[in-house]
Amino acid sequence: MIRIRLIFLFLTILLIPPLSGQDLAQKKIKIDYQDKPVYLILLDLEINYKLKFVYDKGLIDGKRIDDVVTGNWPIEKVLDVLFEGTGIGYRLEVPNLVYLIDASDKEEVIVSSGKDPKRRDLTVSGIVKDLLTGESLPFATVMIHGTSFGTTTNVDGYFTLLGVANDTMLLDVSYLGFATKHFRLDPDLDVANLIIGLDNAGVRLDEVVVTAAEEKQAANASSGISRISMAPSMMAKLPSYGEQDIFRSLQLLPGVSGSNESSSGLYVRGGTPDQNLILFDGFTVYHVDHLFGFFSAFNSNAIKDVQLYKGGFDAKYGGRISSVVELTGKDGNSEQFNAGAGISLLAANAFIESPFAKGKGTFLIAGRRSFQSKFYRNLFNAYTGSSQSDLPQDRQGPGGFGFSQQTVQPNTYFYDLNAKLTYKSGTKDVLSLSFYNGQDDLDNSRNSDQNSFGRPFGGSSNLAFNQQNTDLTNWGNWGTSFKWSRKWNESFYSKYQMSYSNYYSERDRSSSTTVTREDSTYTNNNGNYEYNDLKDYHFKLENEWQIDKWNWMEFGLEGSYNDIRYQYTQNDTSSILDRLNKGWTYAAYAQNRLTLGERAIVKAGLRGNYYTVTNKWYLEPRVSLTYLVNDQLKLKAAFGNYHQFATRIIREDIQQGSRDFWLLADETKVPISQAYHYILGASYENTNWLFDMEAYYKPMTGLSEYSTRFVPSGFGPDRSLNYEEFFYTGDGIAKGVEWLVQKIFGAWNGWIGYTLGSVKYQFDQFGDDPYPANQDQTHEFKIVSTYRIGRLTLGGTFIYATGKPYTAPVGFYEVRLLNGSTGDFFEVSDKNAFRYPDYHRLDISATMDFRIGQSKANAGLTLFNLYNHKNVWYKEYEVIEGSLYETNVSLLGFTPSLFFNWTLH
Amino acid sequence: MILQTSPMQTKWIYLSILPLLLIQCTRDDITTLDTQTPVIEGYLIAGAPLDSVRVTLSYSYARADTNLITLDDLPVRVYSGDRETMLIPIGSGYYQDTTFIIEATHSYNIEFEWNGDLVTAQTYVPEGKAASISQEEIAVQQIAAGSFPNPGSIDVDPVEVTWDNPEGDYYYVVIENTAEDPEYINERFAEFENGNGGPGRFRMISRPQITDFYAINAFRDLTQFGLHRVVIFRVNPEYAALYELSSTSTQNISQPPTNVENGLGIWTGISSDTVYLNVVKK
Repeated sequence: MIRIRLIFLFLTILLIPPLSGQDLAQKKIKIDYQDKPVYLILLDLEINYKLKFVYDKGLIDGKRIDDVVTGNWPIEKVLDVLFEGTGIGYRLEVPNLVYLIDASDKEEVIVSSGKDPKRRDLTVSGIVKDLLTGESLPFATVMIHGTSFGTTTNVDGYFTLLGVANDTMLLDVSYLGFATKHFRLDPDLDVANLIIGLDNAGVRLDEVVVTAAEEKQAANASSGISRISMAPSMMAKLPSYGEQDIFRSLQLLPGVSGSNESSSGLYVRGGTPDQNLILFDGFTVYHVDHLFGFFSAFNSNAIKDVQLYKGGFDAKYGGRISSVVELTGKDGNSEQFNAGAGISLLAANAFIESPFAKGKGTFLIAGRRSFQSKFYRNLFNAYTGSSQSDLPQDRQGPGGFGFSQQTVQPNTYFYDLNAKLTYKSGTKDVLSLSFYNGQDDLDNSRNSDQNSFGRPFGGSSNLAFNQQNTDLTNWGNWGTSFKWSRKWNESFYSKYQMSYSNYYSERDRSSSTTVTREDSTYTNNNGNYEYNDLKDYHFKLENEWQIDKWNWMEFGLEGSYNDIRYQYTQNDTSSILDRLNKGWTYAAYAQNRLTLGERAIVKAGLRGNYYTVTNKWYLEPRVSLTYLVNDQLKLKAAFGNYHQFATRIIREDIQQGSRDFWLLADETKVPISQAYHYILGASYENTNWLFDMEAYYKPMTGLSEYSTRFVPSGFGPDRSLNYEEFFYTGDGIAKGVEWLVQKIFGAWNGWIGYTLGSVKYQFDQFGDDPYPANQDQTHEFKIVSTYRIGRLTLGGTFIYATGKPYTAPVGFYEVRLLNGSTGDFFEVSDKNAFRYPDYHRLDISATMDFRIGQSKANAGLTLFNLYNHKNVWYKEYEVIEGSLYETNVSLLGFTPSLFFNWTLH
Repeated sequence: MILQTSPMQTKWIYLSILPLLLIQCTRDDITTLDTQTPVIEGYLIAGAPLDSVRVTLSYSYARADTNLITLDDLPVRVYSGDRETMLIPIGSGYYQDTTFIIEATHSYNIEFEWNGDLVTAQTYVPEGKAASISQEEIAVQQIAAGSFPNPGSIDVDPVEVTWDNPEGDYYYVVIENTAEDPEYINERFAEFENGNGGPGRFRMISRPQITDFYAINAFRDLTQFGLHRVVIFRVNPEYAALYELSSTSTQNISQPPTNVENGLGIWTGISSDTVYLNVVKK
């Protein structure tokens, strides 16, 4: 009898499939309870899902759950929702055990697994994902609990830990915006293919992490110098113009200038926006502004991860001398179909995402489009209306009657569209295809039909005059990239990427007068037309090789082909400037990361660039050092050399032409810029606070200033008036110190940042002495804070910055012109000899998260520039009756804004 | 949360102050500069004597006085090839030499000393181009005040003034009515002008452009009957540059266009040709 029972038991045990820890975590359950005591719910779950709850009766005594309903979700997500607000925490353990603990003890109670380890000196690898959507999480931290060893996941979410002591260790897995998970290794667990899911349900965490362990096999605080990670989902809670904006949020960090209302580009450590390398899923983005820079061209619904390197960046990034922003797009929900939409006073957005091929593939499509709300028109007018409108007019009819004017209402809009397709074939390969398109169309044109007398009353006429004034600005980006990444084995990973990026910009300020007669037409065009088209074809092969626990290599190849066209015509007759730039840039890099003992990490790398326009090699050595004084304090230093082969010219005044255009360096007109970065810093971190300080010194050469002027040249019969571009070459030095104090944990958190900096340029054109650059800001102080009360989050930002420099007229003179009128001309001061008044503003926001059925929604209000401080954008001068008058022009005053977002899951 | 400082942390705090010392705190002194730059206004018209050269001083923002300061009694020298002259000051900053006739296809220099600097400018007087007009007389129907003209009757061909411009130079046109006490094409204008200081002779000036024709639409461009003088001026690039937009905002401010060294203003040569158009009543 007993033997039969034993056999039966034995067979049953055999038949039960071995449950690995991850199977339990991936198990899906569904709950729907109204007003039930906790113990009954636990009993119900045990029966329905074959779970076993282990707990202290006192923990659940008297507790009831009012109302809870979920979809078919992974167990941890359901338990998080179930126990929210009850003070009950839990821990999962294979095969089906759920230990209930007091939530506040969660941190301290690390009960040993009670099992004997079977394997030692393991290699543990796997993937870290979002529990609900299945999105892989790049640059997440995986640490061995209680030690200073850990690693980070790569861009595909994969990680490998070498030399793990045994298979009962506890791993701490964390990622910005998600609850840290303590994952217990188990002797029966397949440690080569772990799937660790992190939950972001309702736990408020730090918005910004000034790099915790970011590198492979980091010794606790890593070699992340001048590096900041951001979670797009967290940025949603900070005040914005109405559209959650990643670049505007980056401007709230120390070292990044936050007082530029008319640019969403980044001024990092005294550098200009074109000196930043902006990568989106591998392709380079050349222009990041929508609506004249009020906010950036990135839809945060489509973005998963943001990494900003303020300086001293690795050998694998090249082509820019200031900073790198690496954006990783979302792959799409691999668990279920999801959709969402949102609306603000400026634009509407929507996205859909879904898995296909049984979760092996995912896709995501997200789009945004503006609509002509009053708010939009106010912003548009604030930018364009403030400049004088002075289209060239060459004919004025006598008197005014007899002409009819039909004006066309200006039409302006912007949109952007993101799409991504990802396919994971097997466990080693990931293929993805990413696409981006964004455009701004700002049309302020006016059309007036000045008809001959009688025309407005109908009837035909033999004569018709039509004057069309065009004032059109449009620009846009196209980008697409294809990526194939492969994890050859635990130590070797490669990523191959091919991408195409196109930036175009058009500025048309002209008027066309047409005189139509029965049999012929006279047309006279005058004005300016400017066109810039940049094509970037790029391939990149990146390899990561983990040689052993202490030694890690990165090496790769890169090539990019640029084709830039720039055209400037005036008055339809002369093509004043027409340049065509083409060139290849090839690069090879290698970088070794060495962990010395348990305290120091050294990174040494070399990058070599070959530029076909000059046919030269440019070598860039890069070194960095991190020294851990103890668990909380670390010292850091970095040095690097950087080159830039394409430069961007910015024009602030759009009446003069396009806002910006790109040119390739050729060492004759446009120089190759170069910079050296010297960085020194220290940081101190404990559970609740982070203190960070960094000093930088950045000498730069090959900077260019651009101006255009009509220059009479030649003499005698050969004289001519040429529209010439002047590229002045000069040097600069940027230096400064940044301080950051950040509160990392709790319902109230945020940071305070202060930067003391200076950036001076020296151009022979402007004199022998250095002058402060346009972006020079001596002091900048920022406070960013969020406070969460239940479902309501209050956010606030305060920025105070001393004024930037400007050049002003110091006098004027008059010249009588041949037509009898007098022309007034200004005499101008030394370059940037004056300072605008200090800039400061306070923004606040309130966001409410709530549910509509099973879907999530949030709505909120932002008050931008709360006390309506008139920050000077620029100054205008006029000569009236022999006196010089100065007017301050500000951009945005008090601006309220509303938004609403909804997602299906 | 109380931050407990340890010796290590204190050391770190000192370290963080150290970099501060590397940065000099410079404060930009905002001074308004009292500038005093001489401004030349000199037009050299081919065939005419040198009789309109003016030298003044620029207005300084710092100066409270808003009166124009003229520079008189300077030793101003003008030379061309082997011809030269010292200009005679006639007051209010004006200088002249009525015996010095400007010739086309010659270059002219001006110079004088001011505050230790030599202020100079150079220009070339271009050759006048012969212009032709498509018709020398045009008949336009007079529009009586209060009438509603028939569109068909005001259909007039544009009169074309043309010249050769293979060099791509700048030209502008001045149309002036020579008739004394002219009659208006549209009598409503006459009423308007009468109420505004009396009738004046019509004058119209276009802006310098690179072109080789000018179309006159009698109805659009002319308001009076009479013999109109059409003068086609050929100007130099340095003059055309004055019409180019100078920015008035700090976004894009720069030194104004000038061909004067160590000074400001304009020194330029001009030539012209004249054709006539008689506007008669239909």
